[in-house]
Amino acid sequence: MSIYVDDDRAMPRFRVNRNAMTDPEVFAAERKAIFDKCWLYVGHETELRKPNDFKTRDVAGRPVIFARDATGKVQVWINSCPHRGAMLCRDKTGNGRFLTCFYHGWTFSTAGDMVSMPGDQSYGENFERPNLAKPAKIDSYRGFVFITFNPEAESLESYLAGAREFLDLVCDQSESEAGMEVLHGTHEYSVRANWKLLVENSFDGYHAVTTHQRYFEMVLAARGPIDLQGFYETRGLDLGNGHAVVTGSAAGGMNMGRPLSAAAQAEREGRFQRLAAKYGEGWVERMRGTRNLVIFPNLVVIDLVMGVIIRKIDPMTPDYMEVSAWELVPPEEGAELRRQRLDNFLTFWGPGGLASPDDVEALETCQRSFAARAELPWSDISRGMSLDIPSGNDELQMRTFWRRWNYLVTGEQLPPEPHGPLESLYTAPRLALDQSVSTG
Amino acid sequence: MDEVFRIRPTLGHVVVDDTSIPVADIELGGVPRGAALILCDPDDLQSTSDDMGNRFAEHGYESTTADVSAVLGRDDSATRAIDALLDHVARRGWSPDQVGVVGYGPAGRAAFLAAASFPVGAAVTAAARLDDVVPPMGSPTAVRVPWLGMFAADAPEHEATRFRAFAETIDAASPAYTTVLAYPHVSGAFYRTSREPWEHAASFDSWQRTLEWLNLRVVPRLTPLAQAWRARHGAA
Repeated sequence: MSIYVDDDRAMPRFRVNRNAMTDPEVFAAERKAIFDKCWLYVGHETELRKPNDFKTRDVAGRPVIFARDATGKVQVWINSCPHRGAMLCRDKTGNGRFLTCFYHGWTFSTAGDMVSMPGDQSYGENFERPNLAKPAKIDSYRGFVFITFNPEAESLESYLAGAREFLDLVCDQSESEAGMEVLHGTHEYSVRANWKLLVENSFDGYHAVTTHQRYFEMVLAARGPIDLQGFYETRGLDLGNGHAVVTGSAAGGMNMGRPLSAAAQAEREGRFQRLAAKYGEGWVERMRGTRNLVIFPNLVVIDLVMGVIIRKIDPMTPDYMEVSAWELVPPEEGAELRRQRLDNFLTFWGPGGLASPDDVEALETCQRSFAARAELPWSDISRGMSLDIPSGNDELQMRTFWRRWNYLVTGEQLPPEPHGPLESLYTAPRLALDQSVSTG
Repeated sequence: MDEVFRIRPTLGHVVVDDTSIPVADIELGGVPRGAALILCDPDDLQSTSDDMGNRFAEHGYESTTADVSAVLGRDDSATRAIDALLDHVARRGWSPDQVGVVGYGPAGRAAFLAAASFPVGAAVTAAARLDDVVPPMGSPTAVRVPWLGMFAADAPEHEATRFRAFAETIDAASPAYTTVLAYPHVSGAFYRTSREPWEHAASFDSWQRTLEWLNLRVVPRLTPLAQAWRARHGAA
């Protein structure tokens, strides 16, 4: 049995050893077994609007340049001069066809090729002129750009497995030819806790009402009584390869955020009706619902109808992470719907909003309490194991993540949980009723 | 030793449509970084070439400074003049993407037209008034290469909305990256050296931005060894 995961199917009970959240050796092992091996999210293609736009990010502890080159191709380069290692690009964002190292002046293009090195005659004609280094593979799925440092990695499409369907549910929400786009601006914050705690939290339906009481009080004040049925129409799903989702019906989603005007409701309803004509009623009924998706290991896409966020979680040390979040929108939507999205992005998800600080506080107290792991070595994630169909308030999705984590770190393969089939509300397929529809 | 060595430009003319455009060239030895086509006001040719041309030379750029006042006011004439001036620059082996076009004052409009019509490396406009550059009806409203517009804002509290609207319009319409900014509390030729604090700040900052704009985008001339390396290995 793994020393980190106790998957007892007889009781049943699922526990995670808290050393997995504190031990530097575990941190080093997951860097090697997970972050050096898996596909990892870098950014969204629409963040690079024009040729030679670039962003600098950290992926798997490595600084990278996420750029669109002069021909429009999306590229990812290691942000380190091949000469002596200085960071080639020190701005968070910018535009430039040529990037010059401020240390010795070596210059490279956004296509990665070396352009110049001052005084090159001193190196001689046979000197090997290095281009920029890059990850082993780069690929994208519907605008979401991923890289892997593993040359043997399976294709991105195969890696994403069942998560593709849930990305489609998000990406199909735009009628524009360009598809969904990321807005300017990033939420950036840090949490003094292990990164996996935020992964758990990101699709933990169980904590919502207790931890985010203030938010729901605001919703009640804004909307009056709400339909609680929506909170029960949720399901947790194992999507394969460690990816998992909590998905809910439209009734739950409509309980979130401030109320819309009749005109804004009509605009949204009209869009859904047009999309239903293209993709089918069942698919759009799912689209109207909610989803908290984790793409293993550290990408979170949360679509609670009133807004879609992309969250990237970067482990820095065993007890410290940095978080970046962006808002994904249909570019064609009207001013009120956009205002509501931005309002929710700020008031719910923002670093100073009504929800994120609650989560940060909860996770940081967890991490501090893990100092008593000798007395309390295990965290429990058993909820819903005994149910035929676990709801979103259960914890199948977290167990899915942990079983994959456990397999990659320890080699121990734990079988998936057997559960009953889902209702059509959660399984209706995407139809191609109108072949002229762009998939973005 | 406080004497500064300055290169004396070579004066000449470029003829376009029977119009003679005075030019002043600064040529460099070795492998220059790139070329700057500097467009200026009437009566400014000598001072602009002496000042800006030498500043660019300090950073490895050859330059051709041109007094385009005779063709300003007619976009088609100005565009043909830029075409001819790029041909003039090309006699030294510079391809368009190795040229940065910088227009000062009313000639900033010509730099904007260059960004709209030619595949130059980058373009910069430094003009006292947005009206000098805002396209009249029927003119190009988008640029095809990166364009930096710098303007004076004598009363920034009254002009901010207009600058923001122009910046958003040109950005949305253009396939290339653009930046528009305004220097507060200056008027006239803010890009010239001045002892007045706001003007000094604008002059210093606008020059830094101009140089960085070109360095980030103008395709460098390869050294002979770099050319040989590419010939052997193929460029990315």
